[in-house]
Amino acid sequence: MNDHSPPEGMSAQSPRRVLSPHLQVYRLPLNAWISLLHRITGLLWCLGLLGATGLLWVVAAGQGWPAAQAALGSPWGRVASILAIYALWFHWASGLRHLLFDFGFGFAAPVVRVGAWAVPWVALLGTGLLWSWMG
Amino acid sequence: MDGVNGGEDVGARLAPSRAAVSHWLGQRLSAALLLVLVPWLMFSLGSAGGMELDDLRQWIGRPSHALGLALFFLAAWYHAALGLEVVVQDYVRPESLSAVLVLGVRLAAVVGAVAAVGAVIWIVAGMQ
Amino acid sequence: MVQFRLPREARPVTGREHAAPERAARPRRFVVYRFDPDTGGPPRLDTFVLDLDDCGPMVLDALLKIKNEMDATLSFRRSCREGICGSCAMNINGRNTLACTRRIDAYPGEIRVLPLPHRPVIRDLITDLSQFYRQYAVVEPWLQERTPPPPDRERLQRPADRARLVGLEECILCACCSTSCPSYWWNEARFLGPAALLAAYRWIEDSRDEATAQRLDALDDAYRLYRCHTIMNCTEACPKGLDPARAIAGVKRLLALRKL
Repeated sequence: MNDHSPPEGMSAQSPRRVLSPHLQVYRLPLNAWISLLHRITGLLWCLGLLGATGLLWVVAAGQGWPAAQAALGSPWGRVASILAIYALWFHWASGLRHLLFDFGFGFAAPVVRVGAWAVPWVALLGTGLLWSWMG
Repeated sequence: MDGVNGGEDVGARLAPSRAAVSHWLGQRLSAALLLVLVPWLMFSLGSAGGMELDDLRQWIGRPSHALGLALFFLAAWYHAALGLEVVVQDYVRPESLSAVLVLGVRLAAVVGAVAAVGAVIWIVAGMQ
Repeated sequence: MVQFRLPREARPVTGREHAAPERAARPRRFVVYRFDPDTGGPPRLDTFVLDLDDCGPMVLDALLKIKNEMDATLSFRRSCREGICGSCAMNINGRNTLACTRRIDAYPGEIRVLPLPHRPVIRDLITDLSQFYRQYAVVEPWLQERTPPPPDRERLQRPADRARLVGLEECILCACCSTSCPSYWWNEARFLGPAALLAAYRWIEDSRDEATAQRLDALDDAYRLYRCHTIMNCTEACPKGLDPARAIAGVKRLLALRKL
């Protein structure tokens, strides 16, 4: 499209300007927090994927599996596993919500809020289901 | 005044890149695959930590399982690379550094995907 | 890296306190962002205590009262005082909105009034929106046609086609949405922002417009369009109840369908 040169004028005259406060003052709606957590859980699972690929190599090589098992079964390993599973379910649920948005569903403001609110609970439900499944 | 408006609006002057829709589509298609594969894997291998090595290899060695696992790692590494790319482009400046990082991310994802699929093939081959 | 923090010279300090009038029946504190480009100091947060029994119902009424009776140097834009001009867009208690359509009693306590976020401040609550307007111009917000119009009448549109523009064409360009968007904060130089993209979709959806393909071409860009991550601050902020996030999703969907 065409290139529109900026209207000159006001901006050139002012001697001094400052940036107005943004992240510091904005009261982020729930959607924005869910979006931020979607990003954080996604970044965490980039590491998780690295770990999973490493474990697969351990299984393929047939060496070091007992050590990996011990690490996963240790108290810290268990805590990390549960958090990772929760993060994965969170990213899954939030991602599902985004896919629905992409198809044009769920945009009316009340639905948006209910959907945002549901994400952490769906993630909790998924984690709980998995927990009971594994016994 | 300088710095406040950050380099003026380059976006208004640069021509559109014309490839962005593929990136977006790839992200959604891999997401749709993972929507199914991730729960399947979690319920199948969630308790892998307690399994004996041979049982685990037996499970992975089944053709359908091996195929699913390979598909998962391919989709996941692809999805991770696209996602990381978006994050890098959002936050990293200058843009030259951001471009280098994006290249690095892609390279790392290819290495990761090849390693994962290689390991699956290795396990399947070991079963014969 | 993108700057998440405010530059030191932009961080507001506590300013003056203008006390309530004697025997104020319903005192209410207003904390207002002040910035004077002609003095060397940082921005200030001044406090004005008003008697709500002696003040109009809207936040804009309070600002006008402050300007008329307490501090004539307070600067802000306003015009229609009924939500159609978009001039008095500002950040009130952490959310972008129009001061003229917000009731004071909708807020429980102290009311904090700041300029629209992440913009260069010209003075007090007045920010520089010229970049915002340039981005609007980039989407070429006018009817574009190839075929000549009928000689004997105007270009007609069926009611069903006109109905598709409802929720898109009511935008007043107040900038509440774009300046509420974190993606716009970090990438405002290249991301067009929700307001301009809503306008783009308004013309893409117009049955009379014949430049749809070119419009889509111009938006197929990692920064112009795809910095939108459906955070939906825009929809939450819009004082006209429009849904820029849905419009942007519409553009993305059309681009994807065209690709497939």
